[in-house]
Amino acid sequence: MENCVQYQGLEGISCERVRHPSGLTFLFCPMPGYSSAYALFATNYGSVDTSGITPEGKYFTIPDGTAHFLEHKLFEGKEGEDAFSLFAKTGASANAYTNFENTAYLFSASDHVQESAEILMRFVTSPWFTEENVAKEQGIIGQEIRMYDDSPSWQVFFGMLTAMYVQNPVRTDIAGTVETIAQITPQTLYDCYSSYYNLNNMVYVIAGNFDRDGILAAADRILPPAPAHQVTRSVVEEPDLPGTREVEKSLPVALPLFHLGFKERPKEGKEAVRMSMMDEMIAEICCGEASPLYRRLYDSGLINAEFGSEAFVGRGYRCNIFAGESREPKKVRDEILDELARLRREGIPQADFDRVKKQNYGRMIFGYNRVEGVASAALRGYFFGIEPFEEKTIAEGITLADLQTQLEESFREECSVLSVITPAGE
Amino acid sequence: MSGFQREKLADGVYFSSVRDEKFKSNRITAAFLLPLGEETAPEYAVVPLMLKKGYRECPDFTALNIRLQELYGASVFADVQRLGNLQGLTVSVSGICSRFAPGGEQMERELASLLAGMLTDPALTPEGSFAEADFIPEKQFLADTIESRINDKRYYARSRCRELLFEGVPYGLSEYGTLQTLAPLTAAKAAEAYRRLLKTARIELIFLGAGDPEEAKAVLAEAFRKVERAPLPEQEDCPPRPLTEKKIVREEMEVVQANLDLGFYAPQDIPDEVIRLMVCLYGGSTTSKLFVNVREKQSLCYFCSAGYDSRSKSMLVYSGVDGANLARAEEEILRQLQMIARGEFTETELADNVRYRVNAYRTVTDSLSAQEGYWLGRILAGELITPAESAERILRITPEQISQAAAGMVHAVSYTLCGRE
Repeated sequence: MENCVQYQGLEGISCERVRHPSGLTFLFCPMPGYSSAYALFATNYGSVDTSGITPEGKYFTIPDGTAHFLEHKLFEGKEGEDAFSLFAKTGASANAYTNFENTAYLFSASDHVQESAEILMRFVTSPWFTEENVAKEQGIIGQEIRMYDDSPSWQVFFGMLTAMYVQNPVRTDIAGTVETIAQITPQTLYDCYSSYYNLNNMVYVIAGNFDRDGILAAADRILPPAPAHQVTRSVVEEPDLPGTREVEKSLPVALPLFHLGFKERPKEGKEAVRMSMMDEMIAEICCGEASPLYRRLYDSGLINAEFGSEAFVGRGYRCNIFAGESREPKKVRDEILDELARLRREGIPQADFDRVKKQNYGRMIFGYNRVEGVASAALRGYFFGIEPFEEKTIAEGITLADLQTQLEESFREECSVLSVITPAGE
Repeated sequence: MSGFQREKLADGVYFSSVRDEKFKSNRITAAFLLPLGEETAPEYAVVPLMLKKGYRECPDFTALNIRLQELYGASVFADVQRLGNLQGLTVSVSGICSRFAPGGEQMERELASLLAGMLTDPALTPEGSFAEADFIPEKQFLADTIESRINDKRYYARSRCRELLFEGVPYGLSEYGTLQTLAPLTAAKAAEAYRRLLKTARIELIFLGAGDPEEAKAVLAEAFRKVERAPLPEQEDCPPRPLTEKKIVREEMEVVQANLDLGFYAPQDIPDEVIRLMVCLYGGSTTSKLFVNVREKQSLCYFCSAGYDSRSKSMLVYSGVDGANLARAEEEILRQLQMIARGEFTETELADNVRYRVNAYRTVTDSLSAQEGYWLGRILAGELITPAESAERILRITPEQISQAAAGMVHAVSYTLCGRE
């Protein structure tokens, strides 16, 4: 087997990267002492991919919601059997998800891991799309879309993205709309599949208790060599500044929800990971639970325990989000902007930086606790193009000076967007 | 890994532990358990929120969080749950194991000391009250939590269905109380509630992780030695009231997708593991009758699932439905249950769900939070069997028992939340 590289994580947890002759990359993360396994078979294709070129060179546009639609359809096989019924024979718990840049199919199992691993390999590489099964799924996904229409947390998030981004497809709902999914045909799905579900564009991650040699032997039997195919992604021209600074929507909620987002310049690979780590540290120092600002906002009733922050980063986009519930979201925004300006002016205290670094170290240790966590981290790192466990090294290399420089470029007021869901009837 | 250990630390105070060296962290949870009452729910619900703000040696919330950062991102978590007819108030602390602490900190002892301080020595004013400045935002947060259940329509519909199923008895009450019962609560009354809780609630302390539980036990035992205890007698489960008339309730709101929730009383004389497996076959997995038939084959719902609560002996079916399909969906949901009652399911269908349940039990030991949930459930059930033993029981269940469990379900509530016409 060519291209086997070992990486050491924490206390016996390792990761072996293997490039299989089919073109698929495997990441094996054995975890001694654990009885279950968690596997992800994923493609580097998600909702932000709005066009493609087939291996035959045909260019095609992709209706919004297709990546998610395809994810649903892959569970259904040629003879009408579905992957869930296959996993039922092994007892595994199976699922899948589509996000902005990836689609992943997964299972969790304590027994018959080998059989489950093979089922996962087979059904993801066995597309079967017909007029009938596409029509049926349009009904089901139409209902899913309606469910998310009623979700205030989903709506406040997408309200922010829609206001923030002008061209970038990250502004589009992952599931599309009832109208856009009505445009999907079996040919649409086959075109997307042949372009993006090429094994060279995919990865198979498994963590926990499993038989590595057995899985590779299964890959030899199941996976034919993938044709050489370069995935071509369209480049989006996106301005640095947001399209709209404020957006509001009414839904039946008890009190207003808000997302305060800061649009940042997208980065790639290791730099994206490093930048998002620094942004998270800045957000923690600015208004984490140990900060004076959090205390001020909390005690005055401007925020509650639902408040938090997140660095939202992916292929072609990067933003920082402060989110929560508040009767005065604009006041919360103003306070956060003032505090960021103060930190720029007066500098980030060394003691705050040292503590947040300690906190990040601890959180990284926590990440090794669960098979699902180890597998998901390996997948995320792979698609960012960093080595397994490299996040720890990146984090250790961040200095106070780095953070201060980062603060000059990130969290700029002119790049901020406030999205609010207000109670209907107010 | 050591097996589950449980011992009494004080009158009505128990310390349980599982030591498992594969984990990199520890988690210690204190669960106060007492009868859920309509008037008392909010005053008890606010207590864990107050306790996590600090304790006498570290009374300031910001200072406490600074300490948590210094302990490598240790965390404190407070929660309120409804466990059948009990109100469960929990405070948990989590932190990395000592062997990963670069500064050589004894993390198990640090976490236990933190928890012991919060539980038994909170920051109170000289008059014995919680500080007003700390109390007011927590009271508001509790009010917001009560009001915000409307934000998640699935959760809201489920809670309304349960309220209707158990109108007038504790199983139907909200674990947070209501805005009306919360309104008169003061910082002083909340502190009185805390003292009553400490004195009379059953207290389950659960240590899980790779560290040595003896360190934590010693700290907590010492703290509770100083506490005066007079625990309430254990609460009996109340049998459900006999069904007099089925409740059919429709509520309208600005929603795009309707929610249809059905409430059932489960049979009293059938073991819980049988009912759980039946509910799994009915609507608890991706090979269940509801998923395969109501969602996949007939496309009547986006989601259609069933869940069982052993404490209240009740089953809820919850579904997201297009408004035009409501009647058809309800008819089909009920028909699928009747089919199981008549034995109209295959060996394969049952075996698939047996495997699913067995797999779920066998993965419990790979997660600290799953273990905590499992063992607290076993403690409340009064039967300390391991996840492996729970899995074994499922393998002995017969199809006839499954049919009997389905036949014994009494449909008592149909609740619909839909858009305004």
